[in-house]
Amino acid sequence: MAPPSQQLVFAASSTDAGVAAWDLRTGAEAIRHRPCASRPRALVAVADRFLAAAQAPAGNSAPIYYYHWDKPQVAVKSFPTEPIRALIADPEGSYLIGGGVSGDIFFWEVATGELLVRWHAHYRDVRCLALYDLLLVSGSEDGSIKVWDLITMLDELARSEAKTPYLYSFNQHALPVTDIACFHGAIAVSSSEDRTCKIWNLSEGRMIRSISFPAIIDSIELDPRSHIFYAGGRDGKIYVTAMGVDVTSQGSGDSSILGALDDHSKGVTSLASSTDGLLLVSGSEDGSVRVWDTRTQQVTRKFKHSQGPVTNVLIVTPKRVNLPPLQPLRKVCAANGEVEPQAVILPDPENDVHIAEYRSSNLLERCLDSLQQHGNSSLFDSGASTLNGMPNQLGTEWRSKYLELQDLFVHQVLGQTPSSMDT
Amino acid sequence: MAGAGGFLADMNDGWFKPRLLRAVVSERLPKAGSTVPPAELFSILEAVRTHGLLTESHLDALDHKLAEAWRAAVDSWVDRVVELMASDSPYSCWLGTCFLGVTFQECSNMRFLQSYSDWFEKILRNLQEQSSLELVTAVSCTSMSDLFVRLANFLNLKKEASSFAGRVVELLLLLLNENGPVVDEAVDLLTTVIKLYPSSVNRHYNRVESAIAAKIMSTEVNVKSSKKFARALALLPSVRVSEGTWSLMIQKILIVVNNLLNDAFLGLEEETKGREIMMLLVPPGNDPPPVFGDGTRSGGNLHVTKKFRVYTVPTISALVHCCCVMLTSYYPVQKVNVPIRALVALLRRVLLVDGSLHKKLFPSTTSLQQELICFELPSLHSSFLDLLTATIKATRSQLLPHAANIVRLVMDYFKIAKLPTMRTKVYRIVQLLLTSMGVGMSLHLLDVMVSNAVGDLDDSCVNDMTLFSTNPSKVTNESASKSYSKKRKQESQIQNSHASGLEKAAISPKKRKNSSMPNTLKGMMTLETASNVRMLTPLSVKIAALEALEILLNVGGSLRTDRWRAKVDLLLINIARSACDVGVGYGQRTSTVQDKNISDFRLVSLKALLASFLSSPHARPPYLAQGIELFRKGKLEIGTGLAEFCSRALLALDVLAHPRALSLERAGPVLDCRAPENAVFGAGACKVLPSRGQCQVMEDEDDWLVSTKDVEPTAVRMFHNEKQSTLVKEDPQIDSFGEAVQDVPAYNKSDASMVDLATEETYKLNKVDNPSILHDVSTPIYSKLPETRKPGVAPVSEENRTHQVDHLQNRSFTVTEPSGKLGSSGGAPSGQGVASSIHKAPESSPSCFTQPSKPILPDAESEDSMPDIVDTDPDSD
Repeated sequence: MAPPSQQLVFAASSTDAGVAAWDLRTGAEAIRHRPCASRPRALVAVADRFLAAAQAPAGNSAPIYYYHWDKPQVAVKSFPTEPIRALIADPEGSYLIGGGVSGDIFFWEVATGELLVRWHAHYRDVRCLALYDLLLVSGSEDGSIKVWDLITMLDELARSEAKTPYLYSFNQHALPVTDIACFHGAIAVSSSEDRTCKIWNLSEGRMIRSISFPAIIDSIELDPRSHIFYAGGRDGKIYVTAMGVDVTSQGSGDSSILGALDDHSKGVTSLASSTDGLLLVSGSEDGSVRVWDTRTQQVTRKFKHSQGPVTNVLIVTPKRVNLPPLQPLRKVCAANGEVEPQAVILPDPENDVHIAEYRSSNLLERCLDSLQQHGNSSLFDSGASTLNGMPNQLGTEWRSKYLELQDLFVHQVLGQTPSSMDT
Repeated sequence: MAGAGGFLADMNDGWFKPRLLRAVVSERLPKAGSTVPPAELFSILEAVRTHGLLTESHLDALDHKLAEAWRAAVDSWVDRVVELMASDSPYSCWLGTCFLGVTFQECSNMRFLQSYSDWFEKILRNLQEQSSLELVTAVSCTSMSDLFVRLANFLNLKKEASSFAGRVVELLLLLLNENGPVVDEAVDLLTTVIKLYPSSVNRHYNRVESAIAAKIMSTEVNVKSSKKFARALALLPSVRVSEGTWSLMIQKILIVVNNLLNDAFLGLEEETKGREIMMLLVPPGNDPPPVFGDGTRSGGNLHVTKKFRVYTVPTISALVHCCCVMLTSYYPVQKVNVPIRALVALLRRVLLVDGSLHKKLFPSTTSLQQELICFELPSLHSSFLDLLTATIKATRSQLLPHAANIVRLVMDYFKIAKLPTMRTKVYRIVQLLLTSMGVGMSLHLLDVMVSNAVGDLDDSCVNDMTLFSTNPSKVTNESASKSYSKKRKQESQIQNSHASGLEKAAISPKKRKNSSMPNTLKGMMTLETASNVRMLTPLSVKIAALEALEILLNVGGSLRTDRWRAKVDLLLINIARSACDVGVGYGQRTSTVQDKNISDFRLVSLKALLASFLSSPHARPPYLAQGIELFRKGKLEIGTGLAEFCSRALLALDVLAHPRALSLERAGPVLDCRAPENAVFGAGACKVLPSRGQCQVMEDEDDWLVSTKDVEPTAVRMFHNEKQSTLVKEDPQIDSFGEAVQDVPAYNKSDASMVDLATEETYKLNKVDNPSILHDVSTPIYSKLPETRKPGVAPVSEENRTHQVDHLQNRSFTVTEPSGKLGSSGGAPSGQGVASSIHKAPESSPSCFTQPSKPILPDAESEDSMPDIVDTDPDSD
C-alpha cells in the first residue's frame, strides 16, 4: 500500500489510452485505468476520493466512468442523456456538475446519483466549468460565459422569482471559451480561441482585464501563491502571465506576459499546479506530460502517455477512505416527492462524542463544596438534593427567558387585546 | 539519598512521596466512622493529585527499597479506602468510594491490573445495595465510570471489561427508574458504557431505549438531566453498527416530536402541516417505525395547561437536543442518511409559528391556550434553532438543494425574532450559513442581514455612551429584556410619529405597550429617555450582529457594494470608536440575559472593522486612518485579547497602508475628479447647517469620518506622484479614477436612502442654496439619525473638533468627485475649464510634489478658511 501522502499525476487522452497515473516523486507509472477517452475538462478527482471521467462520444453513447484509485477497471458506469463535455465536482465531493453538448448543465448528487437539476445554459456546447464557492461559471462554444448561483438554481421557487436564471452573462469573448479558473477574491480567468484571456470580477460581474496572446490559449492554471497564471497555448508554449497590472509601468498590454515555458512540440491542452505552487504539470497534444519546476522554469520530468493527444492532467493526493458504494448517475430528474432526498453524512471521526473522563475527583470537589456551604448533616440526611449545583444556573436562565417573555407577550396579549379578554 | 528517614535531598527526592503518602494516610485520612472537615479532604485530594502520590513511578527504577516503601504506602492507602467503603457509615462509604475513583485515575498500571476486578466487585456491591444512601449510589456510578475509562486503556482486557459492562447495564436499567442525583450519575455511567463497550449494550438495546425514552418523557426530570438522557439516547445507535439503526432512531424521534407539535400548535397553523411532515417522515407505502419508547405517554393525567409546560415542551426540547447530538456526532458506520427534507419542514413548522392565531379559528382555541403557547414559544424556538444549526453543520455542502428554503426560513424568522436570545441565535445561524456556503449565500442573505444588523447596531453609533454611562440609574433598574422590548417599541413609535404622528401609534394595539406609552413617547424628547433607547439592544445581540457582519464582509464584502458598503463601513467605524471610548464602568452593568461584557463587544467591533477594511472595494478603505488609530490604542491594552488582536490587525493592514500588490486593473482614461468652483461654495453653504444647533455631534462625527475617505487616496496619489514625477501625466490619476468610479454609486445610494430621513430644514437648505445635484448628495449625510438632534448631545470631544479642519478640506472632495467624473466623461483632461486647469497645474510641474499636500488639494485650500469659520458656530452654541 502506498503511503497516504503519495501524490499522483493523472493524465487522460482523447484517444482510448486510459487514464495513466504516475507517482510524482518517483516518476513510476502507478496504474492505468482503462478504458478512458476524454475530451478536455472532462476528468475530475471527486474530493480526492475517486476519479470521474466523462467519455468522448463513441457510437451513440458517451458514458461517465468512475474509477477507484487502486483498481484499473471502471467501477461505475453512468449513461447521461447526452455527451458531457465538461465535468467538475464540488470541493467536498457531494456533487458532480456536467456541461452537455446541447448547452445544458446537469447537476448530480454523488451519494445518490440523483440528477437534482438540469437547465439550459448556452446555445452551444458547454466547454468548461468552474466553481467559486457556490457560484458556477460556465464557458461555452458560443463564446459566452455565464455565472450561476447554485442556491437559486436548485430551488424551484427561487428560480421562478429570479429575473434572469443566471447571475451574470459575459459576451466579451468572440470565439469559443476553452477554459476557466477561479481565484479567491471572486476572480475568474477565462481563455478563449480568440487568443485572449480575460479576467472577471465575479462579485461585481464585470470584466477587469483582457490580455492578448500570440496563440490560442487552451488551458489556464492559477498559481496558488500569487497573482500569476499559466496559459497553455496551442503553439506549445506555456505563458507565464501576471494577473495584476504594474501601475508604474507604462508599456502596452502584452507586458503582463512575463515569460514562457517552452518544451512541448504541440499545443498545451491542460495544466495542473501542485497545491504548493512549486510544480506545474502540463499535458500536450504531442502525447506527453511534463512536470515543471516553477522556480527554475525547467522540466523536471517527462511522462509519455500515448500517441494520441493528452487532454487532461490532474495532480491528486488520493484519499483512500472507505467509500460507501458509488451510485450511477441518473438520466432524468426524479419527479418531486418520488424520491425522498436524503443528505448522506460521511462520518468524520473528529466529531466523536467525548465522554467525560475521570469525574470522581470533580464529583468529590463538588460534594465538598456543598458540604462546606451546608454542613455535613444537610448533605447526608436530606438526600443531597443540593448536589447538582447546576440547577441554580439553569433556573436563572429559565427565569430570564420568562421575564423576557412576560414583557414581550403577556402584557401585550393580555393587556392590550380586548378581544381575547372578552372570551 | 535520604532513605526512609532523615532529611530529603530536595522536593524532587524520590523518598518524599511515599513519606508524604504515609503521613496522609495515617494522620489526615479519616478512619471509618469518623468525619473530617471538607477543607481537610480538599487538601488530601490536592496532595494526591499534585504530587502524584499514588503513581508509584520513580525515576530510579533500581532503588528497590524506595519501590518497596512506596508500594507499602499505596497499599495502606488502598486498604484504608476499601475499609472506608465497607463501613456502615454512609459518610465513610461515600468518601471511600470517591477516593477509590481518584485511585483509578492516579494509580500505576500494575496496581490497577492487580486489583481492578476486586474493585469492580466492591463498587458493584455498593450499587446493588438498594438500601444505601442515594449519594453513595451516585458516587459509585461515577467511580464505576472511571473504572471503565481506565479499563479501556487495556486493549487485552476488552472481553472481560465487556462482561463487566454487561452486568452493570442490567443494574443501570433499574437505577434509571429512580430520581435525583442517582439518575444523573447513572446516565453518565450508561453513556460511558455505550461509548466504550457498545457490544455489551446490544443485548439490552430495546430496554435501554425505552428506559431512556420514559425518562425523557417523564415530567419529573429537570432540564439538565433530560439533556443528559438525550445525549445517551443519541449515542445508542452506535451500539448497533448499521446505517439503519441511526435512521430509524431519528425517524422515530421526529415522529414523536411532530405528534407533540400537532397538539401544541392546534389553531395556530394550518391543520395539514403535521400530516405533510408525517408524509415526509414515513413515505406512503412504507411501514411506520415502531413507536418510540414503549408508547407510554406520561403527562396524560395532568391538567392541560400544566401539561404543556411541564411535559410537552421539555420533551420536545430534549428530543430535539438528541437529534442535534445525533446529527453532529460520529458513528462508526460508512454513512448515515439524514431525512433532510422532513427536518427542514419541521424547522419551518416550528420557527414560523409566532403565536398569532391562524385565520380559521378553532372553537377549542382559547386565549389561555394561546398565552400558554406564547409563553413556551421562545424555548421551543431556541431548541429548533439549535437543530437548524446542527443540520447545517452536519450536512455541510449537502444542504445546497435546501439552501434556498433555509434562506427563506431565516429571512422570515428575522421578522419574528424579537427576543435577544433568539436574535443572537439567528445571527449565529447566519454566520454558519455564510461560512459554509460562501459568496453564493451572501448574495441571498445580504439584504436581510444588513438591514437587521444595522437596526440592531445603529442605536449605539453615537459617541454618547460615555456621556450617559455615568448616569445609568434609569437603565440599570430595568432588566435588559424589558428595556430591549421597549426600545423596539419606541423605534416603531419614532417611525410612526414621523409618519403620521401620535394618533397612529395610539390606535395601533400592537404598538402600544401599556398605558404609560404616551408618556414614554413624550419622554423621547428629553435626554434621558433618548439615552435609554440607545443603550437597550443587549450587548449579546450586538455582538452576534457584529460577528455576522464580519463574516458577511469576509465572504461577500465586494458584492453589490453600492447598496450597502458605505452605510456599513460608516456604522462599523462609529461602533468601534464608541466601543473603544466607553469606560469600564459601562461594562459592569450586568443583566440576566447577557453574559458578554463591553470588552467582548470592543473586540468584536474591532474585528468587524478590520473585516470592513480588508474587504473594502476601494483602493483605500474610507476610514483607515481612524481604524489604525483604534488598533494602535487597542494594542496598548497589554495582556488582553484585544491587544493580541490589534497587533495582528495592524499587521494585516500593513499591506493596505503600504501597497505592494499590483492592481488588477490598468487605469482607464484620465478623469478629472477635482471640484468645479461652484461645488466649493455649495459645500461651504452646507456648513451653515450646524449653526442651527441641531445635529452637532452626529454631524461632526459623520463629516469627519466621511471626509477621511478622501484623505487616504490623496496620500496615495502623492505617493505615486513623488515616485514617478518624471512619468506621464495621467499616472497620478490611476487611483483616483478607481475611487471616483466606485464612489459614485455609493453616494447616490446614501442619497437615496437618506432623503426620507432628512428633515425639512435640510431640505430647505438645499433648495435655497443650490439646486444642483451635488448638494443633494452631500447634505443628507447630516440628517442621519434624527434622534440625535438634541442640544444636550452637543458635547463634542476635543478630538472631533480638531479634526474639523480636515473634514472640511475634504468635504469638498467628497462632494465634487462625482461631478468631476460626470463632467469629464469625455476622457480628455484638457477641456475641463477652471477645475481641470487647477487640477492640471501640479502635473505639469512635477517639481511641485516636493511639497506634499498643497498641490494636491488646491480647492480645499482655497475654501478652507471660509467653512472653518462657519463651523465654529455649533460649538459655541
